[in-house]
Amino acid sequence: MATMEREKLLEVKNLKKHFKVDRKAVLKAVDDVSFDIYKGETLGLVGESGCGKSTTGRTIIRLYEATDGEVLYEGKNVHGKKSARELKEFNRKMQMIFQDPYASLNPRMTVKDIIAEGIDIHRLAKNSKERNERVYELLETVGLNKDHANRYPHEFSGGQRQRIGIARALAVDPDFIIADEPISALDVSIQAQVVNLLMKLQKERGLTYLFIAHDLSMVKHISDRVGVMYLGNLVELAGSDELYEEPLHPYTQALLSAIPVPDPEVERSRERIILEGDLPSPINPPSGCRFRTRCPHAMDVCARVNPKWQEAREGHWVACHLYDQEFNKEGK
Amino acid sequence: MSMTEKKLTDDMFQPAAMDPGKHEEITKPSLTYWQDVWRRLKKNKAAITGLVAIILIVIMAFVGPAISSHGFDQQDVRRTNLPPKIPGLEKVHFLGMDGVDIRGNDQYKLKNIPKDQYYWFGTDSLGRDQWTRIWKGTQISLLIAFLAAAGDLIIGVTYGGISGFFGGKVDNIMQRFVEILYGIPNLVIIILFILIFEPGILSITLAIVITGWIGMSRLVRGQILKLKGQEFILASRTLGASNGRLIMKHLVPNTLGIVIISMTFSIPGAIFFEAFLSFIGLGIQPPTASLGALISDGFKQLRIYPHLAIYPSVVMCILMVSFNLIGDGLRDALDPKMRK
Amino acid sequence: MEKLLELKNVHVSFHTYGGEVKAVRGVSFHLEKGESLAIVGESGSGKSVTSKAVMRLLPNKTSEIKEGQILFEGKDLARLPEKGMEKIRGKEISMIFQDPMTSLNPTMTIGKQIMEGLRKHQNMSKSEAQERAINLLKLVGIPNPEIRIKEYPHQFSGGMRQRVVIAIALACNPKVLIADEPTTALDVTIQAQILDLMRDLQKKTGTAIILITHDLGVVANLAQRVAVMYGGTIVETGTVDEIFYNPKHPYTWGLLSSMPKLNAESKELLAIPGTPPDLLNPPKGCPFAARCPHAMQVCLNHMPESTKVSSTHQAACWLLDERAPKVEPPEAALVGGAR
Repeated sequence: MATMEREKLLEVKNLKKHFKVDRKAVLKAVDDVSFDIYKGETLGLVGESGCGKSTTGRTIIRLYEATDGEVLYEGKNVHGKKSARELKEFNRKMQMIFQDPYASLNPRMTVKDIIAEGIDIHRLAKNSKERNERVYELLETVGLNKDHANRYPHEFSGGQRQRIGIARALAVDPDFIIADEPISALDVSIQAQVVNLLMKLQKERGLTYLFIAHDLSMVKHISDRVGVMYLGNLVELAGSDELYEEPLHPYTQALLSAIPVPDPEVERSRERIILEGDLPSPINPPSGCRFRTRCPHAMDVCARVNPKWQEAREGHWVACHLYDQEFNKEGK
Repeated sequence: MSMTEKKLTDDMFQPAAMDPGKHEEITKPSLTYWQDVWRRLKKNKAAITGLVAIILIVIMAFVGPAISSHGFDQQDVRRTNLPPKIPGLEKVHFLGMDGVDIRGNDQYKLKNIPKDQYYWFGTDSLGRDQWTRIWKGTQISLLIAFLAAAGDLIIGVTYGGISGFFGGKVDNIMQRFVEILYGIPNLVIIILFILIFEPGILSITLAIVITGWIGMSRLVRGQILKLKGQEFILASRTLGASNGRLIMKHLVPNTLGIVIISMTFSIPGAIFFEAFLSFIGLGIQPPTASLGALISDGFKQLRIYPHLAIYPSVVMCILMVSFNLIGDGLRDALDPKMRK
Repeated sequence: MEKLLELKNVHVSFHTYGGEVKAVRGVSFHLEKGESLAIVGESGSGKSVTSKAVMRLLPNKTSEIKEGQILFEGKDLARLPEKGMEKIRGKEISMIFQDPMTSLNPTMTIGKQIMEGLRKHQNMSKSEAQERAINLLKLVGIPNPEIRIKEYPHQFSGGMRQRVVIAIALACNPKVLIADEPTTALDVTIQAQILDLMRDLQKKTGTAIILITHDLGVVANLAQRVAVMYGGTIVETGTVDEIFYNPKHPYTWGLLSSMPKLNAESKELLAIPGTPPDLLNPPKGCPFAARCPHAMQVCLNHMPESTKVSSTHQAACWLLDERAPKVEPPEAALVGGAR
C-alpha cells in the first residue's frame, strides 16, 4: 500500500463523543477513536447498529460537538469556536449524504429549491438564471434531468431521492463527503446504481469519501481501506483486500464469516464463527476490551487492560491483545 | 395461448430500442403538497358539507342583518315575544312560521301588527327582531372565535417553536412555566380575568387565549422536536444554514399542517366557551348579542317562547359541527402517512 | 413429493385514491412438505402481499383477492370464511414478521404470548401450556427459559425477541411457516444466529418454510427452491442451484450482478437502470421490459408465458422462445460455481 506518501486530508485524533442519558449514566457512543483519511481515497467504516459509526461521521462534520479529541481537516481543527466565515468555508469543503431517502429531503420544497439550498446559503449564483443552470447541471450529473426540477420529493422513488441528496451535497463543490449509510434503505438493484454514481463522481471530481455502512460486501467494493467499529471503539483498520482476506481481530473475523454469500455451494460448505450472545449496552460497556464478553479467544488480560491501538503489520491497525507482544506470551 | 401465438411474428423478436431517458420519467402529474391536500379534502363529503355550511353562515352573518328592515337593538314594547312569521311559509302551518304561538294564538293578529310586517325569527321580550340579533350574534361569536384562534396561533406557535427549537435549559424552564399555568383551573383564571376587566369582545377573547394557547404550543413543540432530528434538517445544517433559515424554510412549513388542524378545532371550542361565559353572566353585555347570550336569554323562556332559544342554538350547532367536520377532514387530508 | 400449499393464478389488488393497484398479477407456485422456498424480490414486487394473501391478513376494505386459488391441503383459503381461517392461522400456517420490536405485545409477558395460541388451538391446560412454552424457548436457544418466561418483551434484545417470535410461530407445530424478511432488521452477527436457528429448527420439526427476502445471501443460505418476483409476477422459479448457477431471466441476471461479491475483483457493479414499474398502470407486456437490456418488440406488448427449462426450473421470458436471438448472461451474473 502506498498510503504512506499520500497527503492526509482528515485526521481524527482520540475522538470522543459521550451523550448524557440521565444524571448518572453516560452513553459513550464514540470512545477514543483515531484514524486518518487520505486525499482521494474512500475509507469505509463498518459495524453493527449502535457501534458509533454514524455518531463518528456526524461528529466529524460538527453536527455533534466532540466531547474530547480533535478532528483536523487539512491541518486545521474543525471543532472549537469559529467565526461565521470560517464555518461557512468549512461547510463548503465537507458535505454529507444521509441514510433515509424519505426523511432527508424536505417534503415541502421542490427539488430545485432542495438542490439549490447550498447555492443560496453560500450565494454561489448571481441571479436566478444562473441558479437554475447550476441546478439543471447537477441534476444531469446524478442522472436526472431538468423536468424533475419543479417536482416534490414524494413523487420520486427511493433511488432517485438518494441521487437528489447527492446533488444537494455536490452543489457547494465539496472535497470530502461523508456518506452515512447511503444505500442501506434501497433495493439491491438500486444500491448498485447509487454506488456506481458515487464511484463515478469520485473519479471525475477527485472526491474523498468516508463511507459508513453495515453492509460489508458493499463497503469492500467501494472502499480503499476499511475500519471496523465495535461499541464505540475502532478495533481494526486495514486496506480493504487485506482486511477481507486476513482479518486479525476476532470480531472482524466473526463479522466476515457471518455475511451470507449469494452462492449456495459456498454457503453449504462454509464454517461460520457464530458469536454467542448480544451486544452489551454501550452505557455500561465491559471493562478492558469491549469485545471480550463475546470473544472466542478471550484471555484474563482482556478484562483488565484496554487493548492498544497498534500497527500489527504495515498499514494494518488492530486493537487486540492477541497481537500484542507484551500479553500474548502463550502464542496464538 | 394459441391466440397470442398467431399474432407473434418473427420481426417482433428484434431488439427494441429503449430510450434510456425514459427510465427516470415520472408520468404522474406534478402536484404541490397543498394541491394534493385539496384533492383529498374534496373527496371527503362531510368536510365539504361543513365547509359549505360555514361559508353560508359567514355570509349570512354579514348579509343577514342588512336584509331585514329591523335594527338589532331597536326595541318596541308593543311587539314583544312575537313568534316567527315568514312570507310564503306562513301558509304551511306545521312549519311554525305562521306567527302562531304554541298555545295556538295568532300573536300578530292579537298585537295588531300590519299584514306586511314580518319578523322572520320572531321577536324577543323587548320586541327586538330575533333574525337580526341572531346574525349579529353570529358575527360577534365568530369574531371572538377567530380572534381567539389567532391569539392561540401567535402565542402557541412562537412559544412552542422557541421551546422546541432551542431545547435544553430554555425548553426546561419554558415547559415548567406551562405546567404551572396548566395546573391552575382555567375557569378560575378566566373568571378573575373578566371580573377585573369589563366584559367585552376583547376581554373575552383575551380570557380564552390566556390558557388556550397551551395546547397549540405543546403540539408545535412536539412537532419541532420531532423534525429537529430529521435528516433534511441535518442536511441543511451541514450546508451551513442559519437558525432563521432552518425555522422559516424547513420547520415552519412542516408544522403548518398540524397548526391548521389544531386551529379548526380551537374555533368551535372558543365559540362554545364564549357561550358558556354568557350563560354564567360573564359574556357579552346587552344590547350587543352573541349566540351564547341569545341562547342564554331564550333559555329562560324556553317553555313559553321556544323560538327564542331554538334558532340561535341551531346556528351554533351547525357552526360547531361544521368546524369539527372540517377539522376531521383536514386531519385525514394532511396526514402524511396516507400519502401515496 | 406432496404439495402442501399451492397457489394458482392469484391476483391481488388494492384500491387507493389513485385507482386500482394490481400488486399481485397471476402468481402460481407450490410448496412441498418440509421444504424451504424463498420468494425473492425488491420492494413493491408483491412478495409480501402474496404471503399476506395466503394468511388472509390483507386489509378487508381496501384490498381483495380478485382471482385464483390458494389451496392448502385441498381447501381454498382464498374463499374460506374468516371463522375457518382462524383455525388455520397460527395453527396450520403461521407467520413471522420483519420487525421483532413491533410484533410482540409490549404489555404481556412473553410466556403469556406463547401460551395464548396453545390454549386457543390445542385446548391445553395452563400448566401444560407453560411447560410447552418453556420447551419452545429452550428450542429456540433462549437461556434460562423458566425465568425469562415471566419477562416482558422490552427486557429482551432484538435477536432474542426474534427468537421469541419464532417460538410463538412454532408453538402449535404448524405445517407452514411464512417468514417475511425475518432477519432484515437484525445485525449481521445476529442474522447468522437466527438463520442457523431456522435451519436447525426445520430439521427438527419438519416445518415447510416460505422465506420472503430481498437478500440473495440469505436465500443461498436457507432455501432449497427459489421464486423470483418482479412487478407482481413470478419471473423465474427453480432450485437454488438452478437460480444461482443457471439463471435464465434477465432480471435474475441483473439481481445477481448488482450484488458485489466478497471474493471478486473490485470492478464496476452492473446496475439495473431505472425503477420498478408502477403497478397502478402496469405495463401490458413483460414487467421488466423497460429495464431489460435485451428487450424485444414482443416484450413490450405481450406478457411472456412461463417456459420450462427443466422439470423444476421455469422462467417467464421471451428470450426462451426459439425465435429469439441467443443471449448470454453477463459475466458479473455468474456466481462462483458456474465458472
